[in-house]
Amino acid sequence: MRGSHSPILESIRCLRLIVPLFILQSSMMSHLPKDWRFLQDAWSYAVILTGSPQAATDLVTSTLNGVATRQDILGNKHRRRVFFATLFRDVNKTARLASPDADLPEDILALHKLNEPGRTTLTLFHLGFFPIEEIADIVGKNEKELPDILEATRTALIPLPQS
Amino acid sequence: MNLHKARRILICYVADPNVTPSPAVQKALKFATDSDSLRSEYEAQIEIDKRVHSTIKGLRIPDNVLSSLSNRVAAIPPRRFNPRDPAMVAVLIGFLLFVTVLTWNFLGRPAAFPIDAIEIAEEVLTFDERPFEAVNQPAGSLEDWFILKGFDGFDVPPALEKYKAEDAAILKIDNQSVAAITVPEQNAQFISFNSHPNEINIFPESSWRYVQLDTENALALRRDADMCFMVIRRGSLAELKRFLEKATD
Repeated sequence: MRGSHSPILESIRCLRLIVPLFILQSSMMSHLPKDWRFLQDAWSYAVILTGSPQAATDLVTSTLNGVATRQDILGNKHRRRVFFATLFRDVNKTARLASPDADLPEDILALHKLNEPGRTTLTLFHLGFFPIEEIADIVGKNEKELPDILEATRTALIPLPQS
Repeated sequence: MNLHKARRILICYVADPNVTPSPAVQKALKFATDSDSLRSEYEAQIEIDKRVHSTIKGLRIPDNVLSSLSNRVAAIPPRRFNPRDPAMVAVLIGFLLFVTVLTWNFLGRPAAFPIDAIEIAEEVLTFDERPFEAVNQPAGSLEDWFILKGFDGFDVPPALEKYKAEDAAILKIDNQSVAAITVPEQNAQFISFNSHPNEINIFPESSWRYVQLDTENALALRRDADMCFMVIRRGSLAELKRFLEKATD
């Protein structure tokens, strides 16, 4: 039996590999407190908005600095919505980058090139943080307008290349 | 549900295997299975959504950026007291309510005229047997007389000691001894009884509480140490107050 592959021993060997990976992943997740984990998705959203990881980092950092001074929303359940609404507002009040990051994958570029408010609406739908009425609130549209906006945005993505 | 409505619902639906669709979405999905055009539109939408989803979820925040954001979050000072915070407002309202209830209990109840004293006054006025004995002495000098009769603690406020009592008695009301004297010159009866059986509290001590008992009689009550002293007087409440104020002067 010593040389045979017992299923139990195999499971234990697998666990010995999986557990450290799990701990490693947990430690990475634990970088941010639970209430602030959305910052990772906020960064992804900012990459799509700005077309540049560096610009996304700057944008998220400056938004975080702004939020950090607002005591009224620091412990508030609306903080996440305020954060995304601020990202949306700040990006769209400045001109779009003339040339997005050259290293950006094509599928992200395709999302970046979409028009607002469709780009944000579709991204926020996929991030799954907000119900439809809050997404409408963030992009400053009526809830009833969102189906048309989403349809037009998806239509614009039909030639989106495979990732 | 019609085609237009089902279509608009499905456009706003991003399929997630971990989340059960809402009843409206389930109806729309059922409708789509029966409609070729809607089904093909929705299938195309699913394909696009899959690619968009994998694109968005495929973005990974660099470790150094994550670390920098974590440090910034950790540096955010803890939330300071904000009186406009709804939680703070709720706590404040709760505290005020608590204080109000306590005040009502400890101050409001003694401030009102005790019901038990009113019941004693009614009993005295409607006492069938009249076991009164003639005394014809000033009210203030009857303490010994009552002690001899078995009632300890009869004490008349100094301002009322001068009034002449015509007769006096010890009445048994609900197994409680009540000392009563009649003062005909003032159309009044002075009553004295222990405050403990009925737990009568008056705050502050030695202050008067007044009430109009009925159309003919008014009551005034005070408590000194363990004893209650009550004046039952024919006439209005205003007349009773005037009588006591005049007596005090």
